[in-house]
Amino acid sequence: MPTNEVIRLDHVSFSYQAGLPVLQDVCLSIDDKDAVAIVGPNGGGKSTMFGLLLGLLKPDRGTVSVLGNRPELARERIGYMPQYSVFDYEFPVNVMDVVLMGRLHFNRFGRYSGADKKAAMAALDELGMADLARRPFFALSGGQRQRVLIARALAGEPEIMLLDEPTSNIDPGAQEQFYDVLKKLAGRMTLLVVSHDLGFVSDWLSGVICVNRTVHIHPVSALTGDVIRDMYGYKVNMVRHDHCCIHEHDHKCNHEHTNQGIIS
Amino acid sequence: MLFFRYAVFTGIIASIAFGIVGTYVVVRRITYIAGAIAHCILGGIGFALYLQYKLQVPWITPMCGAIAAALFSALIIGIVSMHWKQREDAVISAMWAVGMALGVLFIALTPGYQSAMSYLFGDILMVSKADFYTVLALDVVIVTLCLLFYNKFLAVCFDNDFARIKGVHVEFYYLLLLCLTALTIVLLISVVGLIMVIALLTLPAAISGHFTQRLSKMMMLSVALSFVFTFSGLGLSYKWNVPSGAVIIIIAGGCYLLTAAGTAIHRKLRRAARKSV
Repeated sequence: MPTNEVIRLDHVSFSYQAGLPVLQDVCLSIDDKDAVAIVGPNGGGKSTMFGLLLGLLKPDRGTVSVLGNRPELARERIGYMPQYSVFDYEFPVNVMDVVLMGRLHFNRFGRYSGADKKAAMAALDELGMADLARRPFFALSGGQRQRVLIARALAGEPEIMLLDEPTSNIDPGAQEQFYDVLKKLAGRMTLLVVSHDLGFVSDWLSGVICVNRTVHIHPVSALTGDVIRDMYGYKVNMVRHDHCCIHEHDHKCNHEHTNQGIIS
Repeated sequence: MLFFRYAVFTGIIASIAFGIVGTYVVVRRITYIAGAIAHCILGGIGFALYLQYKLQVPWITPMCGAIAAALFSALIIGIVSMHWKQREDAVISAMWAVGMALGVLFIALTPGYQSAMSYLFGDILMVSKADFYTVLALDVVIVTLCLLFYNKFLAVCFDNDFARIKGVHVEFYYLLLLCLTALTIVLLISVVGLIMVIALLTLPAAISGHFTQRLSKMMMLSVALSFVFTFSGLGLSYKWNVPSGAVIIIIAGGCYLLTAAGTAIHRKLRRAARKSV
């Protein structure tokens, strides 16, 4: 076993309803500072896997270990950005209030210190959002909100970062900027990004995990249209973002522009 | 005039709890839970009256019964809503009705003439010296806990899962919030009665929500509004010789409608102005 392993799933099965497994006998190992994209169809178990890593869900069978510990004991060292849909956008908070929540675990009594505020500001600054710190959270655009939520995760000084659909709900122009943000994080910490958009399959990724009840791990270089078709179980349309089209005539599934990314 | 002085003091100190807890209730969207707790309280009041008069246990006052029933129902509803989410609304409705029914039954069984009216519709002018001190103690407990755990409550209300990951004991804070809501409702019952509790708990916060974008400011404004509503209602009811609870609620409701309409018109005008540019 490699010593720098930070995430390990051993024969993990999970179901919300008995008899309908969402994940089945999943084995997975992720090393420190890896940057991994997690892809797969809706309902395939991507967010469920995050729930298990964070100890929010308990596996029916198998063991999950994070940073060598049970998830409940390690999760304060994880930065987590949940899916866009979990928020009540009428909630009266400003950007700073949200980012400070990322530092709750440093303060047993829930009071934020000057150092906390400084760290929150630094996280916002890193995502180019420092000047919006006093803005109401719900007055922001989709892309700005996603950045605030990443800043919140970052403010907790995480060793592992889990991002669930960070590019949903932002316009295509902002997506490119977003990849730059993720690229900056890669290498600094272990990075797991759920997406159904394979724009992620870029050179800074160390691997792609395909989750569809079971798990397949691919090195980035091996990810061709045929592999993707296998893991989704049906024909998908994809756009490759690296645009190296030399063998276009024999890789016929690489350039069908009818659908954006891999969307089930 | 002594009775009026207690009424005024009760209104002042209770408004602080109303504004703070009401804001949490509105942003966490648990007004229906608050409604169920309020109706369960009648069960507690009825049971306390029954014990007091039938079994001659003098220390079991209606206030004791109200506090016990409030906390008990808050914990039951809280536990159900955490572990049996699918049936949450059915359980809440059942408790709402059964609590009320028990209250009516016990009051009917209590010897001598007992009227549920003052509990249903409230009568701040009936607040006794002992009630006043209970209200004061509850208020201190509620405000202290709410301010002490402000950031944790904020995190739990905004994003439950994230708070849990950050080491906040989410279940504990949710139950604590429901218990504080329950105690606030006990205070409210002495001011406006249990039928109208929901209005004074939520309207000030709902109005503040039109003007502020931060929880702490929403609380401060709600406290101020509860204050204004309670006092103007009390004054007018005294002047016109009508029930104070009803006047308080009508003033609060009227202000809510005005601000809601004002906000809608303001938004529309702003949108029109933006279009014409």
